[in-house]
Amino acid sequence: MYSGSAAPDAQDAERHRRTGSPTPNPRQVARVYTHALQQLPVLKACLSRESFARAVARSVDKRFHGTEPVTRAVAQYVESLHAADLGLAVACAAGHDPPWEHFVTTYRPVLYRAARALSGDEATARDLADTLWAELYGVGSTRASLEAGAKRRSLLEYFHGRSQLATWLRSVLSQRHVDLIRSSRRLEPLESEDGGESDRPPNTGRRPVTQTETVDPDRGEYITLFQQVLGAVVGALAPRDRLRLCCYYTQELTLAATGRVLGEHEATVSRRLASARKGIRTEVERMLIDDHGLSQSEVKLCYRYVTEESSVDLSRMLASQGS
Amino acid sequence: MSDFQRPDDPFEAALARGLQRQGEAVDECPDPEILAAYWDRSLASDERTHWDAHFAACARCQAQLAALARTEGVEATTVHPAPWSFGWPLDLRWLAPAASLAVVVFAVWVIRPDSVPDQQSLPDPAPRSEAADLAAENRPTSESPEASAQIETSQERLQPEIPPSNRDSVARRERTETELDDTTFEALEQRELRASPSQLAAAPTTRVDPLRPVDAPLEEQPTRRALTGVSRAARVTDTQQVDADVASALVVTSPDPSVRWRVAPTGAIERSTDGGSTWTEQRAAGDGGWSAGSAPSPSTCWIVGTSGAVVLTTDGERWQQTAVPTEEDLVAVEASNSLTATVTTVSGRRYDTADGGNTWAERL
Repeated sequence: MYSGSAAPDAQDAERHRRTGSPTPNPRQVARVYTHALQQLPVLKACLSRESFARAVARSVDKRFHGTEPVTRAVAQYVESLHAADLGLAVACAAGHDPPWEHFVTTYRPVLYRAARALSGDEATARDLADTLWAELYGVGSTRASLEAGAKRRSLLEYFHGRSQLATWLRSVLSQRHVDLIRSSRRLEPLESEDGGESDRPPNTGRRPVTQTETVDPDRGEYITLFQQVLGAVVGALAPRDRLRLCCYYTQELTLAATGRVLGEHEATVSRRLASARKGIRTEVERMLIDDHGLSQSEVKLCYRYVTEESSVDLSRMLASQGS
Repeated sequence: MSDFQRPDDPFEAALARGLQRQGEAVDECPDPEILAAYWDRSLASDERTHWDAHFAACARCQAQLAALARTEGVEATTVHPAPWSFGWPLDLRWLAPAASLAVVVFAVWVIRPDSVPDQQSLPDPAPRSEAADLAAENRPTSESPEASAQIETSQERLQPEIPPSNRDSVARRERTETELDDTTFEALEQRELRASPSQLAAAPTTRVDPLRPVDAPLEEQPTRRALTGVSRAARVTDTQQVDADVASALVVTSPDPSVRWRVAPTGAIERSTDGGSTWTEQRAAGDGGWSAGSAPSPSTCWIVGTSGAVVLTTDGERWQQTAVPTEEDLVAVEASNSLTATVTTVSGRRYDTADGGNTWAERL
């Protein structure tokens, strides 16, 4: 959900006053407006040039807020906007029926299918989609605000045309779905914070160490050492390489899906993952052996203990190194 | 649908374990519009670089990107009226008056003195209420997979006889509309971008507007025509996890058929001057991941690959490397000579050079 209590128009007015934001070329906006109407004739009777121009100005302002872009950059940006989608969002947010009908026909199934793809069950998917759908319509306004004279506000007012409308809808849905899961996880019991062994069996699919087995007294040291070395090596990777690794290993995406996140072909993803794994392994083993004096068998013990251990928190290290 | 399997290799298992839990990035997460623009490749390069760094460190954003990936393709199954911009009113409410007008036009044509003797009688135009009822009955439900077929069928039923002189143009338009009716955005992209697996894999996320006007040139999209002189010895399909170095050999022919270049399975670039009978290695394998080429003359060849990499030769022998200012993979190149070329990224962006690759400008 978009945070911030001020409505977009009020925020924009204040921003214009304070910063003197760049304004797009009116002729270019007119041309883009005409193109939008050609693509979506249902807008012809509902979308005025002025309201479209205001939407484009808001989009430009949001993009270049606080900067002084050159005219060419603003022109390029305006040209890159998804004009028909922006016009549709403006017309729907204004409450016009014909574009809203088009929006319902075209995008409602997209939203519900996306919700089903994300949620494990139909009921949750429907809740997720219904809530968002209501906000797109503008049902989110409170009765008090409506009685006070405030008009219905649609979530579509936050769409500024930088992406396809369908992608934006999926993005909003994805954000809500993820935040819902994360907030539910925060209600689960916290794990031990000492960074040591957890009392719970490790969630690795491997059998836990039982009391009848001998526990290596150096186990904790191996884990900590590996944690440090791996953290240093992965932290030194380029952001896109780390993102690729996280998409594949943490998010468990397919190679193709990882490629779509990064704009790469899956063969490229596969090759780069293999290259990254090889490079990381070479460097980790070099550091463990050369810098810390471990033997090959001790290195293997590191891998085994880390895999069994459930409290490795390497990624917090990555976040602090990579940000 | 994941191909992820818990790795057997102990190191890889440790690596996967080490990446399982994520921290939070210290800078603010983007709003859904930025996330969507990132997905659609609509961000400027400096913005993209900034958000790459954030996403690499932010578990929340990675989860959102993964969720976007998991919802990819839901638009492809969406049934909606064909794009308005093709000028054919598929909103069935318009068919009744349109049909009436067509009947009038045809009636005028029929009663002309020089009209064809064996004129076919027109079916009585459906009364407006009947047409409206038929339209309402056949209005596609938004989730019905047969909706596009219903649109087509109802159109046929309501359409009066077409005069012979107009049949060809109408048939052409109908074919186009039927294609677009039946063909989802993804299938349209697949047909046009079948030239390479990179384009195929990226099809749903390209910046193409599916509602673009019918007269917009399809050359906007990387098509087989853009891959001048390129052929592939083998195709890599979406379902195969095959290393590109092994799967295909890229061959680039020059205007002189005896002179051609190819990218060997190892990634090395080789040249033949006898029509492909023998090959000489000119450039050793690197990290190019070469995907397309263009040879405007027997001594000039441009080859493009991953992450904006470009190599070219202007004397047929020595190769120099340059790069397009993009992290995206390049999937096509059109070169006019040794100085002028246009490359296309996997998302459809195009970059031009007029100085042999020293500088590049994105085409708007």
